[in-house]
Amino acid sequence: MKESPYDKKLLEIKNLQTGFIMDGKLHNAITDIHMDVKPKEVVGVVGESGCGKSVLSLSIMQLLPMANSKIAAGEILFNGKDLTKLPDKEMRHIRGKDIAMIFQEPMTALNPVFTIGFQLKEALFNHIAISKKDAREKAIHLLRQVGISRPDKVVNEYPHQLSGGMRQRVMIAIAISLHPKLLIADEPTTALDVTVQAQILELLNEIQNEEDMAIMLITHDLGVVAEMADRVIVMYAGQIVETSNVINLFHSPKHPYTEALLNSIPKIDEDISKLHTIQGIVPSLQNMPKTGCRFADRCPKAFEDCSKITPKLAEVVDGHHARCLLYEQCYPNPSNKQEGVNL
Amino acid sequence: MEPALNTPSSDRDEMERKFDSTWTIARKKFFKRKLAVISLLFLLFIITLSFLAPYITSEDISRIDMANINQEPSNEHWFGTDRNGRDVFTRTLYGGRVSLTIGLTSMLFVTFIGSIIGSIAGFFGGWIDDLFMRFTDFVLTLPFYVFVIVLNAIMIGFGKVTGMWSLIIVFSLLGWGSVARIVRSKILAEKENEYVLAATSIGSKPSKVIMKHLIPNVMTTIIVQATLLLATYIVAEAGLSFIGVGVPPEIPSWGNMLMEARQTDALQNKLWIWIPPAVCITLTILSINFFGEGLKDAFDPKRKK
Repeated sequence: MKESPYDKKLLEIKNLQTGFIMDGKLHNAITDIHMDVKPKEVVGVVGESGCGKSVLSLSIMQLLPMANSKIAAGEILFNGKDLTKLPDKEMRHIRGKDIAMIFQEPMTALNPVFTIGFQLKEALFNHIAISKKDAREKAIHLLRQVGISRPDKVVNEYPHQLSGGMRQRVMIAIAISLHPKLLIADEPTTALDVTVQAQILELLNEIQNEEDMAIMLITHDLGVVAEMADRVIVMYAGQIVETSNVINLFHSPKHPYTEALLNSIPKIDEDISKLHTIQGIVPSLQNMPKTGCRFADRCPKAFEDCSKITPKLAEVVDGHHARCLLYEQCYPNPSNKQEGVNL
Repeated sequence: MEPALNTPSSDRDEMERKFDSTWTIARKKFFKRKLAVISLLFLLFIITLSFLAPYITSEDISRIDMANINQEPSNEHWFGTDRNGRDVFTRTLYGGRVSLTIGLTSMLFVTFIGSIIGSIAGFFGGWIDDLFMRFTDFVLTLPFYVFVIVLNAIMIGFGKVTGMWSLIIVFSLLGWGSVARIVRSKILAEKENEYVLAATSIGSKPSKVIMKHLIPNVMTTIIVQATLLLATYIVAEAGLSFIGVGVPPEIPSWGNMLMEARQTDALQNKLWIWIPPAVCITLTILSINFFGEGLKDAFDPKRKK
């Protein structure tokens, strides 16, 4: 456990709100996001499909589709610089160099018409002055670093000649080629089969130790989080519902949603015919409840206040935040239990 | 049985070499198609003959020889002479040069303009897409032949450009719309792939993402489209010249050589005057289309053979 809360923050997100414009109206995909990543820390972001994990990561990278999405409010401070206000040109210098990203689908994340070497070198050429020969050597070195055998052959091969696991290794090689301070891994193992998943996670762990970088690991797999993360952020319907260090989260989850998530992991020693699930579905962007807790409809512990009063994210136990009215602290205004409004 | 692990390294190299790039696969598939290959050879033959015309024949294309009008094919004049005594063989070669130059150059310009506009519209989307595509729609609504005739007349009237280049400019200005639409739709599909996001995520500029990542991936479509356009423009040139509004009559092109056939006498009795350009046009267009079809199949990953 790297428990040093007063460290300098590498990435700090304040009150981030990102939405998509549909029929001329802005629908928020994520609201009220406060989080931070410290240097060399692995932060896991968990949540089910559509909860805004990917929108969060794309917001940080400023890679949202320009045509129909918008960061409506908030700040994303990276080393003190607000990425949301950075001009495109400066953002390009950060992308790939200071913040790198790996994607869910290694099958499509590499350009099919170019060799592996070409794509590795592209990242280098974008950011540093390097000769073609040196770039090639560096590419081979990187491939070796991510555990690809016969790297001198693989640089000349095309993506379709590699397996999914190898491609994800190549993606990691591209991402770490310029020693970024933060690596955003958006579901890096989802598209891979279980044995390869384990290898890739192990590789990420190794690389994180070698390179001393922070990783923001976005996943819906609690197993992956348990294995990798120092700290966990649980998201539901575009909001952070719980944040804690990994041990506390698994041992004493505070938010009913987290509890339900943990509960729905099949246990090997349990003999049941039906798996535990969370009933209902995540409300869509257009149908987000205006007031009250967004999980209220599906929550087994919901009570009267839940659909009327909007909880805020508050510290429930030391270093453990949750957004649930079961805890006095989460009432928007504890003195008179006034109603808050969902954004 | 020898265990698989002990395969000699040379064998492994052999296996590795069997993986080919898209282009190699396409080339191999293309060369299996006889018709397409024959068409390609014929096209190369015609192009070589046309562009080497000055080295093949020493006749002057516009020298009028009233002593030798309407001569039948002979040793001296392989394809005979026309009603002004000009050598038809020479004029067919030079005519090919004009027709093919117009076709090829217009094709290049049209493909270039169309690809740039289509890819920018497709990649950026939003208002840029709207602006570019509405402009494209506008250009596409202009009645092609009417505008070609009018613009061409205006351009030649100004006297700044020769007849051939005027036609090329007019074709290029009016023709890029269809390419832009096709390229845009391809880019729209292609940009959803994560490699586009990945390329941006390592700090590549939008221009670089378009030129280096997207265009090569839609290149096959562009090439196939371009070959079909080539045929269109050669036919368009021939048609316009035939009715006398294309290339001015003093420059021989296949189209305005056919003009001679408008005289009943030539049409009925002096076949040698109009058959050579007619055959050239027909065979060239057929070859281009077979070649284009061959390319299309070669680039289509679903066609294995």
